[in-house]
Amino acid sequence: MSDHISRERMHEAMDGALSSSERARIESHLATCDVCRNELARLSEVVADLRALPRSATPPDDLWSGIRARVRAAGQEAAGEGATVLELPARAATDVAARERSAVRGVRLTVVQLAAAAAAVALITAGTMKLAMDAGAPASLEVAIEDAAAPGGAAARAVSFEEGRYVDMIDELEQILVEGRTVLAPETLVTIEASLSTVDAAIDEIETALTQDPASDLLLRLLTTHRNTKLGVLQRAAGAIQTEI
Amino acid sequence: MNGLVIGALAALTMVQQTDTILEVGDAERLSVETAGGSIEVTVWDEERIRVVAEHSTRTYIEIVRRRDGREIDIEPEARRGPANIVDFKITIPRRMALSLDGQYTDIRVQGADGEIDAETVRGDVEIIGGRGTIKVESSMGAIYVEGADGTIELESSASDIHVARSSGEIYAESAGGSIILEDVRPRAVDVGSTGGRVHYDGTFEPGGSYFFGSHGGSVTIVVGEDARASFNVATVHGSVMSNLRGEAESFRGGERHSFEVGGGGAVVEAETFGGRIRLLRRGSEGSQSPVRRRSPVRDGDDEAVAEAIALSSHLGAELGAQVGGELGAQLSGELGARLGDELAQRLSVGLGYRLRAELSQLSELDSKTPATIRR
Repeated sequence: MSDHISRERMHEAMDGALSSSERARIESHLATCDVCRNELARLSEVVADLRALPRSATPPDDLWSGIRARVRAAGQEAAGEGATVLELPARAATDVAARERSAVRGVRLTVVQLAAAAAAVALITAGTMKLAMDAGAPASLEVAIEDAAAPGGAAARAVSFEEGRYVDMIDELEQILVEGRTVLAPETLVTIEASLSTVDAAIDEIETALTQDPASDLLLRLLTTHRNTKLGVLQRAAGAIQTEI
Repeated sequence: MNGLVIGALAALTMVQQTDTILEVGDAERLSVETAGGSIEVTVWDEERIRVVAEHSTRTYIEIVRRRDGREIDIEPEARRGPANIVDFKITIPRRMALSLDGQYTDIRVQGADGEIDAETVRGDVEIIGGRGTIKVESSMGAIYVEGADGTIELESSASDIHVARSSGEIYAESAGGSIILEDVRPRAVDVGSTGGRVHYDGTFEPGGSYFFGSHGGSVTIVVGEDARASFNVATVHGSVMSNLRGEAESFRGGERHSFEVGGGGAVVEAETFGGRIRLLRRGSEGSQSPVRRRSPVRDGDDEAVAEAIALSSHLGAELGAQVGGELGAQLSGELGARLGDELAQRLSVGLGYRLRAELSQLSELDSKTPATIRR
């Protein structure tokens, strides 16, 4: 068994990361070894699956300028119209829907599916974090609030605009945690769930406060901050699951 | 006595040491990946890398040059069953970039000037010195950075983050832990904790921007006499306390409050939902930085205790691997073999790490116990 090509080396071969001599050695081995040839074919399929994932997970380059334009337009509009109603996230409904989806699937994700989901998540979060970190700015929503002529209305729209994407990302990550929780050590899982519980409680408190004061830029900033924290916790959890498998 | 115990443990675990030196060549980055144990990196002035690793006899250390020799990868492999706990002590040229990745792994880097990217699930991370970009993520471990200058990005899900005597840009986030910035001179700060407190004691550079946030924990900002900054603070349900204008003033939440010292300059913002915000002159009551909880094994004087703990964890890991392997051997077919591998991996790393954690905790408790009681 030790004569076979390691999986890591196969990944490197597929990535084109091997030197010419190493590549030649592997090609020579593949010519005579069915086991390694089949394994390489299987891995190639995994990679192909990963590459076939919807690329829409990556925010388009012009997303931020689009948000900025929408917020500016919303601000001007809001200045004429008065307050805009904030669409609060339907967390409970989302959670129920996620649980239902989970129950319908009823099976554990395969390693390939899990890896594919984690890769998709990495794409999403990397794109989101890039938006947030660009030019040393804090979260994109915070910038949006500062730019808006009428903070309450524009900020509310910005939250609404971001809502769908945030829920999608959280759903994806929570699904990975649900499906992959069995691979985590119990104490790791306990800690991750405790962290999530802390952040969820904070988000719940802020959302409750927002029902009383939907135009509060402070509450909206706090909401953005803790949502980003939750994304971070879930992303690290997904990373831990991916490492374990 | 200690020597006897260590010798017995070493014999039981069949621990062996790899000690090798390799030329750096064109390598710009060193990557180390291990499931459990520790990675300790120091620097020297030679263009060579020394790798010292303690591991079981089943395990060997694979060193591979990749990407046309620009990267050197170090990873434990096992002749049979999983590679488990490995304790690395690696010496590198100061300029090398580092990627350090572990699951149940403590990471310590001292003096490296290249980019550092360290990630672990369960384990503490300690970075001493360093220039350039420093990125650390730990799901469950504490993060400590000291004497660094660069872009410092730190994330922990559940544990404390402590930065001391560092400069540059500091970004830190913890869901459950506290964030302490002590004696720092950054030009930009953006730190936030959901459940923990935030403490800042450092300078405010002209034109710099500083943001501190917590949901339920307190935010304390210590301000020196020569500071020039505008403070803008807000809390929803918490309170604000300041002695920047001399006498202590307190305010309720629900409003934004502004303060200015030295005619302004840096922009400082602090926000909480329910936590208290305190703006304190340096030296006044409550302005002292919280004491860092230090790792008793790393920082303790008793190297023998540290060694015994490390060896014990190797013993636990080896035991776990064997038990897992035996259980797997009872199962038939490919599925059985896979389950055996999985069991061996889980039991090995899990048991080894657990033993190390428990013994470290015992050691910490013991070190806090007065000698008279210990006797």
